[in-house]
Amino acid sequence: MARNPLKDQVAVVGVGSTAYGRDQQRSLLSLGVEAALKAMADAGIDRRGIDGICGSGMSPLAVGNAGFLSVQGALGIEKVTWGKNGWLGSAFVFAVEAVFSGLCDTCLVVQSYRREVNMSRSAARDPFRLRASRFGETGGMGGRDFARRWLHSGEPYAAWMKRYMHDYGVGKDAFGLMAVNNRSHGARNPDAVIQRAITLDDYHASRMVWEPMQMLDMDIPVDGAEAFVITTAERARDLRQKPVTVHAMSLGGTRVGEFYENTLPWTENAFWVAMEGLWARSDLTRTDVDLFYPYDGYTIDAVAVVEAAGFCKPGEAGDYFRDCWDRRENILRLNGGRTLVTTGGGGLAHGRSGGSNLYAEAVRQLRGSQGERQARHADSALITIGSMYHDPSAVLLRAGERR
Amino acid sequence: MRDVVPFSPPAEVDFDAGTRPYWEALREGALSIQRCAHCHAFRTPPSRYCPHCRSTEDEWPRLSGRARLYTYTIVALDRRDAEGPVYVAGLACPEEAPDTKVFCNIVDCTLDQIVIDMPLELVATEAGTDAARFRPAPATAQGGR
Repeated sequence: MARNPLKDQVAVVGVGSTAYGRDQQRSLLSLGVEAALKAMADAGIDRRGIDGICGSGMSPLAVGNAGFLSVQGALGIEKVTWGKNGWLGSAFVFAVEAVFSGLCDTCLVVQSYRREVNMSRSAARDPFRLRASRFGETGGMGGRDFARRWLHSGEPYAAWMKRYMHDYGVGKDAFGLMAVNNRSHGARNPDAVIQRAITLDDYHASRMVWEPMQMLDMDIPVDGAEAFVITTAERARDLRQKPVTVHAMSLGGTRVGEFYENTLPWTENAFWVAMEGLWARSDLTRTDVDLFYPYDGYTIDAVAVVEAAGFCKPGEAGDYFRDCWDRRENILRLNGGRTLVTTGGGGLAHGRSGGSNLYAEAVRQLRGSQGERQARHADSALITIGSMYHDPSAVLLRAGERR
Repeated sequence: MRDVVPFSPPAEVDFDAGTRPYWEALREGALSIQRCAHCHAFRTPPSRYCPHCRSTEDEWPRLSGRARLYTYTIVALDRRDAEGPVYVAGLACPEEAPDTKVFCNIVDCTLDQIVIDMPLELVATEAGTDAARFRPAPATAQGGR
């Protein structure tokens, strides 16, 4: 076991989401501020109760878009003793670290995403998006590739799908069934941008983009934001919401850094590092997980997370998914039927938000507040977000206070 | 079958001190990647410090140009044209440095010739190209590991 002094010491006490939409014509800051205000209202605190902010964006600059200084200014928060930018799953992890360490007591996490000009032809034609794209840095690939013909991050992921299929002698059913699962959940989520379920045949018939990657392997670019309020488990007792406690976390990094060329073998990529780090710090094991949220920016990410988490052996996700398939609901049910995967629909159906909507959905499910969509078993949730190449996070959340 | 075409001419290639030898070799029809002058480990993409021994001394040997195709993706020039030409982007492992992967463009072949682990050989490229171009090597050639 690795050390885990932060076990059950920090809690999520507020969550706020904007609507997701293909074309909201709003800035990242506007979306982020709306989500932040909703999260603070949900937690029952006002801006005077916030003393740390984790904003979104890859840029080390704190200003611009929804960077932490911009968020602080827009919300009129007088003083914070900690601030940082993050993205994907790491923003949440940074905030928990800051609260646990004592650099702040109550931290706001704000993650804003937009349908960017590099995501589709129609987005590239939109003057609003074009202008917005020139204002500040907000993510993307984090610097241009050395040999810069990977025009889009999808190309190296497509090449990795190809190598996975070659190495394990499999087709694309693992990717397809993950897409079907998420779209089935999206069809039950009134907030999802795409609420139409699909079949595996629909998946295979979808438009080829970067062979072998198809349209339905990719998340849906949208404008939207999520925010969270994170504080100590002790302080959470005095707040209005049932707390969701952070049980264990890990990030994952490998020596190849963020470059897409010199990737390590499949079972040595960064998801494996993050999952190994998480299990070494957790009292719970894979079979204790009630709700599982593997990042689905591309379906190959989600398949990698499933395998890295140890649900099946490398290369066997397709067979495993068939064994776990609920034919009536067209969804995955892991751990003997108890564990649902990506309720809410994730990036493939609800919309692309760098995985922040996976955290939001997990928190609401663990509170038991999802109404008709509420999962029967919702005591623990595993959320693994990021990229095979860089900064994945693995987080295990539990319902209620843990003493 | 859909035609395989080279990458379209690039808008620009950014040279800097760290990557110049790679581009210069390509313009002279050769493949060169960075090797640590201290521990002699190859690495891609170029970096200041050797990840194995942290030396900053490097060298850029000219390689044979023979390689193995690690993986690839097929991309339509016009996504709305399902029958139109495509380009193939891939990762090649040079024979002399089989643990490194060089981003590349596969040319001079038909789509059905392209398979993972196939032997490749470097194709001389005109000035201004922005990636190493490879084509399938004759079956007798040894393509990396």
